[in-house]
Amino acid sequence: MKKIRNGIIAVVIPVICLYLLQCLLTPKYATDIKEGAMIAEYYNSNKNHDVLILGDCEVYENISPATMWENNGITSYIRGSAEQLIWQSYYLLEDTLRYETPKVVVLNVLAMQQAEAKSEAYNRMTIDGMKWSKAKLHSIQESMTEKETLSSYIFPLLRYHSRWSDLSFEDVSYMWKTPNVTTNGYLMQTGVRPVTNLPKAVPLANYQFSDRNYEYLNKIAQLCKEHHIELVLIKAPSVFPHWYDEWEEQIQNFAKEQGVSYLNLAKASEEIGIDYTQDTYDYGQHMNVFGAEKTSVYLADILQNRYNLQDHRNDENKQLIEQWNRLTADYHMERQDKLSQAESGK
Amino acid sequence: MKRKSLVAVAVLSASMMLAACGNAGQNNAGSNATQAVAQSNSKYYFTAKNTDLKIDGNLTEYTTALGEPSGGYYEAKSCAFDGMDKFYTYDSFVLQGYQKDGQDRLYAITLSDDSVKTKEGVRIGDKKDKVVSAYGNEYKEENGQLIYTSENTSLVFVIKGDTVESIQYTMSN
Repeated sequence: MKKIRNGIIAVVIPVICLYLLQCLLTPKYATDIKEGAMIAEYYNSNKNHDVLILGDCEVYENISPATMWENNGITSYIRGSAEQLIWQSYYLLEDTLRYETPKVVVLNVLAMQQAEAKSEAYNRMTIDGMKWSKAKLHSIQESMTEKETLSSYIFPLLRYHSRWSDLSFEDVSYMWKTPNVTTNGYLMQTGVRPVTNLPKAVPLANYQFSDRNYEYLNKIAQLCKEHHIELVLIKAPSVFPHWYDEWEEQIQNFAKEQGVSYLNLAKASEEIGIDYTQDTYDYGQHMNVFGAEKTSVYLADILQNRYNLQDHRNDENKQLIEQWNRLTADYHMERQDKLSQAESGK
Repeated sequence: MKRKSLVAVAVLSASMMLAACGNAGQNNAGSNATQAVAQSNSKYYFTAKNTDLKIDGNLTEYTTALGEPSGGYYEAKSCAFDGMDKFYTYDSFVLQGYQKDGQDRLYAITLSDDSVKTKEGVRIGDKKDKVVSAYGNEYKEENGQLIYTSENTSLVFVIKGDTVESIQYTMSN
């Protein structure tokens, strides 16, 4: 009996120690590289969204769910991440469907031109935050670069144990729970860096999107159909990197074949009212909060009119209204704080 | 006493397991640092205003020598990370830089019109045959591109039909 007890202790204590170490050493992304915290944040939200938005930085910096609520009463969430690849968007959609079924899925198509995973760092920021499921496993398998291993995703300690020297107060403070860094997936930027000039677009040898990206774009369209979800493809507003006509044509053709909507918001910049001297924080690559709000008003109007999305601002569900009122109040507080900081920093 | 020893053994074994991981995760996932590429003596480089522009060379020195870029300067931040791509647009070519070890380095040179030519005499609009006669048969053909590689530099000719549409010197993978 004693031997069995001792044996159990000898196993359990190391496991607990390793678990604690893993909690300590895994990056928290709370104050620096916040993009790494966004995917996990979704699981804390109330999963009652009419619109799910998927894609790379062009969604989480260019669209504001708080604005879509304030102007149209649309409930939305952005499951965006840095350099999110098309198959990663697919698996995030699968993952989200485990919790809720939105009426509309909006997918940004910039990633269609990216045939391969760029680096482990970007993979980690999209995948590590997902809860365990088949979707996460498949996303890892499809995304891993040459030097990555499945075991390091299953046991992140294998990957992060060398972070000893980088540990900070943040690692201890947020060992169990990290604070929200976004408003329903929107990462606010308040700087202003106007577009003054752009590098010329370099002719490419091959404009064709990869077979794998088409395969996953098809899978996204099919999954949406199976769940009676309207799929809307968008190209978010930006002036860099260059979006080639050949890419535009392929997306238009795909949308036509699949019978889904495609909105090129970059082409609609004027109609949206985007002023590239004021509404971008990085020379036209992404919107700042002013540009994101304009884009959101424009997009929300289209989604509501085209898909009869309910205006929940007068909903009978008072809890929902309270939830969104709190969210928008926090959003405006953050907006005000950041703008004041920027003003005083001038 | 026995229990304390048992706990000590358990903690020790956990530490050993951790140590056994060795350096498996040495490359920092939280950093976008581009892999170090030793500056080489590639035979492929571009010359402008008597300055030899070599891939992975010191971009600040090059742009100082070339003067103000007539077409302007543009910088593109990496998503999420601190890395920055920098673009200097000159009359007939664009220099693209990246940051390594706190220094701006040359990542790519793109020739943008036929008023300039490579050191070996090829310019945009030339025929594919001219490229092959200037550079030889030691190229990789990929998606309509002829790629010549020497040390850390790839010289890429994009061919449309039978004609050179674009020329780029870039860091080889």
